[in-house]
Amino acid sequence: MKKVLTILVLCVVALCLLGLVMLYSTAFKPADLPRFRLQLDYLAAGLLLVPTLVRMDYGWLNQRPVLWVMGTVCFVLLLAVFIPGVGIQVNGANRWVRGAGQPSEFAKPVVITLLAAYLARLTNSVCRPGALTGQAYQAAAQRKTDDFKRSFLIPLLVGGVPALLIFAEQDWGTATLFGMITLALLLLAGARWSFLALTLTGAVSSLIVLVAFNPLRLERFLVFLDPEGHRRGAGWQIWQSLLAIGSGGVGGHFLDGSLHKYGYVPEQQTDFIFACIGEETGLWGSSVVLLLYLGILLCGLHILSHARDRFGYFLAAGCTTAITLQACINVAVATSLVPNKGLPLPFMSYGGSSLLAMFICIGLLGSVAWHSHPGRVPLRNSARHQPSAVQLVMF
Amino acid sequence: MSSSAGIRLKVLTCVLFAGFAILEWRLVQLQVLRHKELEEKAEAYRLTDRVEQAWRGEIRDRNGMQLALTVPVKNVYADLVVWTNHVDLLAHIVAPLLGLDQTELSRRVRQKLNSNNASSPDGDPGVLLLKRSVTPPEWPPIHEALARETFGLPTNHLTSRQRTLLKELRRWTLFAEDDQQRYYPNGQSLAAVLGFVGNGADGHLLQGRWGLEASLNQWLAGQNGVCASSQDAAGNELAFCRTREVLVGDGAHAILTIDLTLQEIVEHALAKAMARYGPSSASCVVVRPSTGEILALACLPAFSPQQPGCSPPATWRNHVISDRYEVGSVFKVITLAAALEQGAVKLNQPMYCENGAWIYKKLALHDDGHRYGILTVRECLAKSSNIGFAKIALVVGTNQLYAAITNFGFARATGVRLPYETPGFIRPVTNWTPTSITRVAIGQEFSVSQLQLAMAYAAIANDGRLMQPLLVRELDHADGSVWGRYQPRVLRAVVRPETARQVREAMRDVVEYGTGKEAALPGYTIAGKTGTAQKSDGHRYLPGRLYCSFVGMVPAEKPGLVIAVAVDEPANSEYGGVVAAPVFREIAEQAVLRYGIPPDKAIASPLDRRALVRGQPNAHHDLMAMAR
Repeated sequence: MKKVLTILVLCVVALCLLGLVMLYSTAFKPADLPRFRLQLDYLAAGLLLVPTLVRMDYGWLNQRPVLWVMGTVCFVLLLAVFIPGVGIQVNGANRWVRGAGQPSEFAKPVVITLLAAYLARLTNSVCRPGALTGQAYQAAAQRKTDDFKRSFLIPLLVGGVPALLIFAEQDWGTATLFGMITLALLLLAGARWSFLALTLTGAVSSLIVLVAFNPLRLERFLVFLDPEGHRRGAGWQIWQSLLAIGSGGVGGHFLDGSLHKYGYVPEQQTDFIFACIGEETGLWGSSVVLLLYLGILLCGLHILSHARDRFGYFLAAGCTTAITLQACINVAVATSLVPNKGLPLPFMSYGGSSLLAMFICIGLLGSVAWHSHPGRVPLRNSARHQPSAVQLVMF
Repeated sequence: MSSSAGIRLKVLTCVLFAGFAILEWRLVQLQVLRHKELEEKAEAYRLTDRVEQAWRGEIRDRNGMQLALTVPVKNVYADLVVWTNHVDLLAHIVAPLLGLDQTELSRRVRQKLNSNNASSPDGDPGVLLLKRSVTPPEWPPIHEALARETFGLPTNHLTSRQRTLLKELRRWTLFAEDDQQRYYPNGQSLAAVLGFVGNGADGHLLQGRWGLEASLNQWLAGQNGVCASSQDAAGNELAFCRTREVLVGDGAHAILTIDLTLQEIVEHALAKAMARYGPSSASCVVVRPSTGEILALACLPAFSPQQPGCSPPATWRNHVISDRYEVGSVFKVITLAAALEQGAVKLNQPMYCENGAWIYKKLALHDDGHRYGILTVRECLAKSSNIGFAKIALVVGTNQLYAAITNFGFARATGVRLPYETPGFIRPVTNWTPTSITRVAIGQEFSVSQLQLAMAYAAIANDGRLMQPLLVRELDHADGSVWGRYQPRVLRAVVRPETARQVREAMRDVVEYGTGKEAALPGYTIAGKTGTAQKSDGHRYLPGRLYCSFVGMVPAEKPGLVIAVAVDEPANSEYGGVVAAPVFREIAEQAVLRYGIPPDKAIASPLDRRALVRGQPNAHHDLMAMAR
């Protein structure tokens, strides 16, 4: 486990450092340089935050009052975005709260924790060893997992309500990410395939309807279908990103050799930093970046399968999917595989909220890893895959 | 954890792995398979060839007066991207700013939009030139008015899309590009020499199309500055990407030998002749014989070099160098020079003029309306006897006459720096008929340009040395330093100085008592010769269509100026001595004052003076009669 944790940290550090280089490279105007400085500050904060979280016992989070407080604060912040004077509108989306960054970013670890806690309780109550055995256990298990409301609707709401709020902020990318994380965790928690399929179909069809009736989103979708044809209008960003990545070739233009970064790709320092990576480091560099995220995924999979309890299992699964999915979606947007979403690239894009939220996810993942080792497991959680000694039944 | 959970984890893992695989494949597709295509398209955005337009040089006269100069103007364009959906609104706003008609403007924009939609598939509507040559002070108010314009949007609360739209509209509804315009401060003066410019070719904004503008184009145009480099998205150059740089070299200034003041004197005199005689054209060239410099060259009717299209192309023609005429009697001077040079005749040698009609080799030759008996050679010139000169030519001989003609520079372009110069035309001696020599001697059966004639006279004025005609005196760099100077060049000595002096003496008689009395200028000795030629269409002579000319020099002893005047097809078929000689006198009268040529002849009495002005030595009798 120590090795895995080391690999995980190395991957994250490598991504952060490469991100810094790229950020420096995209800052071609003197006015852009403060960004670099700010990013350094956030990385320093991450340097303190991650070890603290790793050493912290994640089980502490799995307490009813803590969960309630986290959930309420997150909900309030997400709502605060809509209050005029508190919320700040940036690029047509209400994403910011004055003085507190982007609540949607911080909602990521919170929602993952809440979901993990709920699903842990649900599955624990189903398969508590000794409580029910044989036929009766099977029946009870069947009944409980079939209970649509408990096993599916409520967790869907836990993930779905924040997602809807973020959706209302006009941040469709993060909302979609939330939906996908929720579905992934439900998948792992054993929701029935039919429920999953139904939800997925429902979500996709409602998205299609919403896109069809929202001119801005429809335009983005049409742009996605033909970036070159829309290169003079809405497709400019995507098309320039494709040109930048494509002109990188196999070897790239070397660090700081990018010419297309000079204002051609808007938001190059945040959502489209991959365009700069693609142009400057070429196929090799981009592949290394993808491999680093793949490394995080593999480490996460190892950690979650060695988690000491179900909460840890779901927490690790949620954090891993959040990081890798976000990375995948960002790269897919930059290479025009999916419509433009507006998600930052974890650890590399400029942006404090996003960076801190990702560090929290990594911290939680590390905490699950750190506390999986039998020697470090606190007394009350005796064994892996065993229900907690203290049964906090929320429902 | 049941095995079901393991399967579910595997499903999630597979989905995520598949995601990474797809991304990697996409990267290979973009960075390996489509690398070339995308890189080319990326470079198309970045690479720039910035051209800094060279400033077209000025044309100045010998005293530095500007004859043609370049002024900065702006061309105003509409970026049709922003016009596409707002044609009427924008036309309503823009039309009064530019002083255009609103409906016409909308129609033009619509037409351009429609034609572009049909032609370009990527839907770029392009730009439309709305107004040319807006002066630099006119443009900023237009630009500022647009920057304040609200375009009917409620400015106090705008959505972000509206704000973007407003910004785009304010920025791109109109934009201006620098252009150059050629300006001719002296109007129609010297038009045929200066020529005009047209719209640019090979990268220059202005391209000489006619006259000196065309022949000196390569010097006037200069060299455009080129800077091949890359630019950022805002259009700023990335200086470290500069690959090729050629500094701009502004065009040279051409300093002509023309004297604008004299030019205006000449044009004024010609204009008076035009009004008085109503010819199809009138032209004049003034040459300084000692250097071959052309001091004035005028053709009327003239055109406006500013707007050549407003005048018929016939007026563009420079008659002095491009037209060839059978000049007639003015050519007798050359025949005389050839004869004297050869020693074939003496000035006082008597010639029998056959009482006005002579049949030589079955072809009749007449002295128009006169029956001269015996005249001396100098009288033959003064009275312009065709028969006398035919006989002189016979003494000279065919080959010798032909040699003299070519020696004087005829039948060959003079090499003056103007396009479309005619070399004239003379048949080779082998093609001459037996009577040709008698016709060539009096300026028929071959044609020359007025400039050739003027240069030949200038050779006689310059003691027999034929000069290269000079029109451009100097080329100066844009910063004023001298690039090159054209030195006067003696082509050859065509006659001995003594012969030239004798010819000039004979020519004085023409003005003193011969056909050119109208050219006489009190106080000055004038040598000259009149000419009245019938024009032919190549086969036969056209009755009533005359080419009247006078070529003279002042003062006769040591000529400072040679002035050749031609009036083509005067309406009432007058003689050259009547039509062209007074023009000569008017020009010479002011020119001697301008150049400070001292009088070399005493003025006898006021009465004589008035008589001399009228060119009739015995006119005082008429005046007395009138007084009575």
